[in-house]
Amino acid sequence: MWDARDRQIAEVAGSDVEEGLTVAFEELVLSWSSATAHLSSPTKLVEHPAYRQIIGLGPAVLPLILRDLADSARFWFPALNAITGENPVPDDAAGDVARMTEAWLGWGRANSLI
Amino acid sequence: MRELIQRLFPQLEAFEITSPRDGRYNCIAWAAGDTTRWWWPGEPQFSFWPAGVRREESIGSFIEAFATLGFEPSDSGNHHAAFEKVAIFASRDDVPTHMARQLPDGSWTSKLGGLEDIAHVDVTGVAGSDYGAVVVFLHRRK
Repeated sequence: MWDARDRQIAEVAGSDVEEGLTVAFEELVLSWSSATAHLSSPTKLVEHPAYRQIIGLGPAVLPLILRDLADSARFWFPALNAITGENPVPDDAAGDVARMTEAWLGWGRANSLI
Repeated sequence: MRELIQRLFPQLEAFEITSPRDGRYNCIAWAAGDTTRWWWPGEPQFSFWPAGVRREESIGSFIEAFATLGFEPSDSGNHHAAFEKVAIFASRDDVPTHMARQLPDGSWTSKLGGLEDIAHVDVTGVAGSDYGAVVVFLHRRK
């Protein structure tokens, strides 16, 4: 049985990303990245207000996060987990950014988000 | 990019960018010689940390992690041809922030989060508001 989050993700899969959402996402990414790109602590990366705001945008932002992940290898894993409730990364791949990225892109393709 | 690094680390005087930007590894991994993983003692599903080492953001946890690679506390960051050295940085509240590794010529190399690697003459060049200060040096025999 689908819960509300699954239903929201399925709805996103069948629709285009709104231009306004894309602009808001890009502005938040710029704010987050310029403040934290030189930091190594996932705690610091995730607690930044812009990152929290991106998570707050909900499932609608998933296609944008997944596309950025494919292009930039930015640390989107906590956001993807928070928004989807999923963790497609095998236990032995934790910390291996290339494998984590591939796992999430595979999840995105399986859910028609990219 | 050089201007951005200089702005982030105003104490950095002599440095060279030695890699392209790469989000696949961070400074802790780079200090450990690993360019494939993001090392941090946070949530296990998001980062790598050596098996059996406590996952907490403490200086002790970082010392234990590097002990698994053969490192032990060192009196200083002074260059010694027989030893490889790394430096742990922490904030004022003793939360680790960064690590740097000494190069064979005595200078240092730092991976700047998800940005580039740099070589810098003075280990304290990257100290400041974001990385805090060096709190521990570790060494292992080459």
